[in-house]
Amino acid sequence: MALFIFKRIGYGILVLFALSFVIFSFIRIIPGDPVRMSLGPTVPDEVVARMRSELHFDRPIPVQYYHWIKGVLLRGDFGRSLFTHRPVSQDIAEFLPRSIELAIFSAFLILSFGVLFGTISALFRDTWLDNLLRLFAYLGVVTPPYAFAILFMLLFAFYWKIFPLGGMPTLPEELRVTGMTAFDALIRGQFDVFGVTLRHLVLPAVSLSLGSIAYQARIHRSSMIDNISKDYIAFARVVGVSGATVVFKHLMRPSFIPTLTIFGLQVAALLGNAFLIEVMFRYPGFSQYSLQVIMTKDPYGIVAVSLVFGVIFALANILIDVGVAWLDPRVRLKASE
Amino acid sequence: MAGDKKLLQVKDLLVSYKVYEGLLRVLNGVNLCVREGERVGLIGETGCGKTTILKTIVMIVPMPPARLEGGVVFFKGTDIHRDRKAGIRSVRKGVSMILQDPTAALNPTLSVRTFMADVLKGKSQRMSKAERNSLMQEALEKVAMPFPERVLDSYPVQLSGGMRQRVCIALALLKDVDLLLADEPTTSLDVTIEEQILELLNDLIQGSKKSTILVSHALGAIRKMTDRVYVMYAGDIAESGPAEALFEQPFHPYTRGLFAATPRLTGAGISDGIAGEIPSYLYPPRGCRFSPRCPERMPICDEEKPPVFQPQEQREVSCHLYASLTKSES
Amino acid sequence: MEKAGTTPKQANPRWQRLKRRWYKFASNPLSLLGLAVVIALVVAAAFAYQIAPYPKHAGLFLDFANANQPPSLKHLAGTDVYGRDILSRMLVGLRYSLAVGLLVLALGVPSGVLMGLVAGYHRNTWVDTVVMRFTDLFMAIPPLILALVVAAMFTPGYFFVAIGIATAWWPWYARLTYSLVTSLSNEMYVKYAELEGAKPRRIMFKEILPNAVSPMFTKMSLDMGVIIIIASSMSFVGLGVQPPKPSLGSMVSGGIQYLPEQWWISVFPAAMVALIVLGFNLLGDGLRDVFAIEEI
Repeated sequence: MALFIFKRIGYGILVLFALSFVIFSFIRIIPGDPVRMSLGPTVPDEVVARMRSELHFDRPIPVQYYHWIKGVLLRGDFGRSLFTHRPVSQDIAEFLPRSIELAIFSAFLILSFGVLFGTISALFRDTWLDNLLRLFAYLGVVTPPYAFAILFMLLFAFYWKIFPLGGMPTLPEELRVTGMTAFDALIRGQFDVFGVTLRHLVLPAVSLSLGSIAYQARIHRSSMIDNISKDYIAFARVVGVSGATVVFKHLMRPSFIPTLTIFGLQVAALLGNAFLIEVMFRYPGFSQYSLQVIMTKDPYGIVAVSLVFGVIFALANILIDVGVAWLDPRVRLKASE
Repeated sequence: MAGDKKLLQVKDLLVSYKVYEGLLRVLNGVNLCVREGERVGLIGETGCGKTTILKTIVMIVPMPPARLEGGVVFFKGTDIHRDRKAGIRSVRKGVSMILQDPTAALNPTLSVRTFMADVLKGKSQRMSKAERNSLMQEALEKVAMPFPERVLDSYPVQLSGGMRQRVCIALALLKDVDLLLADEPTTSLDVTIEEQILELLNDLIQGSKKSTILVSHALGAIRKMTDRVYVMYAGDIAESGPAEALFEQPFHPYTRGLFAATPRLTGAGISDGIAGEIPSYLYPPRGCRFSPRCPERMPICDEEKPPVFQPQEQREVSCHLYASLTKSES
Repeated sequence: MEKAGTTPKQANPRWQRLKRRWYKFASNPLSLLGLAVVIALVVAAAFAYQIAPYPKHAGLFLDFANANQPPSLKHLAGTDVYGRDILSRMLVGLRYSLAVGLLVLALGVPSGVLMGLVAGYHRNTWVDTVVMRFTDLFMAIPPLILALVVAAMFTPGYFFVAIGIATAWWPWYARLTYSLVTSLSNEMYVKYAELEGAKPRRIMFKEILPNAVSPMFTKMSLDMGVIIIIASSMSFVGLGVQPPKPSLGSMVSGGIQYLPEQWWISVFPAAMVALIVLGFNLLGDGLRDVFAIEEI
């Protein structure tokens, strides 16, 4: 099992290196002068040239890459952003934790509610409850997340004023631990602050997750329905396993495998959709930063951002693969060969 | 020896499956019974409905798409389908079953230990872990499993076909039941293992006072291991009687054809089998379902389903050939 | 595809199969609904400029007197901040959305399938490894992000949006084709073709590809929905068609600041996107049901 994880991690690292190199080079090849763009048209040429050489843009690409990678690995220095005019690592440290928090919250919602609704739907198959849930699931799947965002903003923030319109309060420096606002507030015992931050998280998280919850519920439902007619369920019943155990252990475990696999895709979708949601709710997160960086073709910013997403994505996939291997001994045993 | 009390009685059982094209009339009025301590055999071609009967008895037939169109199943005197909840309770307590394919019967994500523990927990909550462990060991030893400890911690994918079936048998016998059903327990196993498993089953059945219904293609095993045999064809019971007698002298043309088709080392060798194929369950023949293939076919066979006759003491046949004899009372 | 009636002996099996599939498809009212919606959308898009009540509004147009009108009989979806009829703009935006979807599939599917075919047929050689590692590279970051990075490299425009998304999309088709090829390669008819000495390319295209087509169609239909959402997300942030040309995504983003009073500016385009996705999803599900039964 450990070998399995190591192999995956090692391979993931290789891919990320390759990816970062590709993107790094790609940006420097395309026409356009990002330095000039960031400094503006009025700045004199010598200043632009000086900045360009400071940022190593005049060297050959492999050399640039070498310096950059060295910086990343040894010092955690991702270079300087032309957009924020600060070290990228600082930007990452500020914005990333908040997005991670949003992502984790959303991921939790997706898995728990998706499985819950899928299970209910499967157990009460073909009843009015099932049909109702399936209808909602279908609507959830076809509606783009930003549409949900608009809907929820209108309903819950404007008309019913239950949740705030957007943004996220910043914690004072003393309270900061990880940078994840709500989490920090929680572990510091500031429950009222935690409450406020949690309320700011709800609408973005729900807008992000609703579509995925729907998708997850459908997959889980069909997975359970497929397995319910399997011989091993009938055998477990015949042989005397209690009804509840049959459903929640014997049926749930194999059904979870496709569900978990799909969850990986949902995480990918999450990371992508977060862009729009963060913009719409003015949530000061990493996706919104990444968007700016990408739109302004900020060289160091883009590659750093891609790398970060790549790492997160790879980690999530490894976790999911581990989860599947844990559930399905067939995968586990094959993997150790 | 077998008592007189009927543990299980199936009367005129009619079961159909609803499919896209229509209604499959799988069971066409099946009558069979098992007395206490009796070992019953059930033989017939693949697809004749044997598994459906067993599944109806243990109540694991999915009720849509299947439908109980008529007849009753009495277990210990109660109609199990009348009050399904009570029926299921009674059946779970008193009946156990071994399925045909041990690989499909075992949940791939659970270890043997987990599965057994679940069964034992279903039996009684108040058992300590140690008690459970010793029961599990015993159960595996009972089925002659080598290295029980290792097997307990294994997953089905790590076990061979024979071992899986042994595990299934062990699981089936974990609770003390009155009736054990075995649905072709060796059909999906290698021939070399088949003998072992049948021997094992024989020992286990002989040793206990359980009633059994054994379904198998291994006619030799049926002859040896059962007291009474039913022969089934296309959803009907063709004939029944004490094992030895039935094998010595089959009455129904189908049974005769079946025994003749069995390859023998002495005598006929490999025969041609029975011409034709099993009828469609969608549009079954109106009369006797075997008549299209029957060498003794008569006009009445196509018109009327043959009633049950008793050509001899304890022998019953459902065939118009024996119409001159007294009709059976049951 | 031969037409029925040309050569009776040859046309029969194919035609029969098609008829059977159609009956299976048509037996589910939802699938028919999906098909109807998709056809309606395609027709509406094709004739957008003819159907739209105010075609000129889908471009540079100012009429402040009529700005911010709620939905009415004159303007079924209301007007936006510049006084332009939203319904007309939605219809034109629909064109771009569908066009982007088609473009992505036209770019991504053939390249992905080709890669998958090649890799699958040359299984267990260096070709296989190289291609598969290449797909891993492109799947390392979430699709929207890759699409954004690629599209942002170029000047804004919907063609580059399509290129961006196609870059992120082709690996999925490569993978799908690869696994289909691998499983189909073991089928008997391929082995026979090999024995007969047919060249690999011929086998790939004549034996394997036709059988891989049905799962492909299902996936393409279901993908359209996701692709269109991604494309609209990209125009939301300003990468797609540039103003004053309308696109559904940019209409939604443009209307956000006017919530909740002028809700119709954002809500109607968003609903249109949902409708497009609904249609393609229903259609895709219907196709999946039809082809799934065939495999048994």
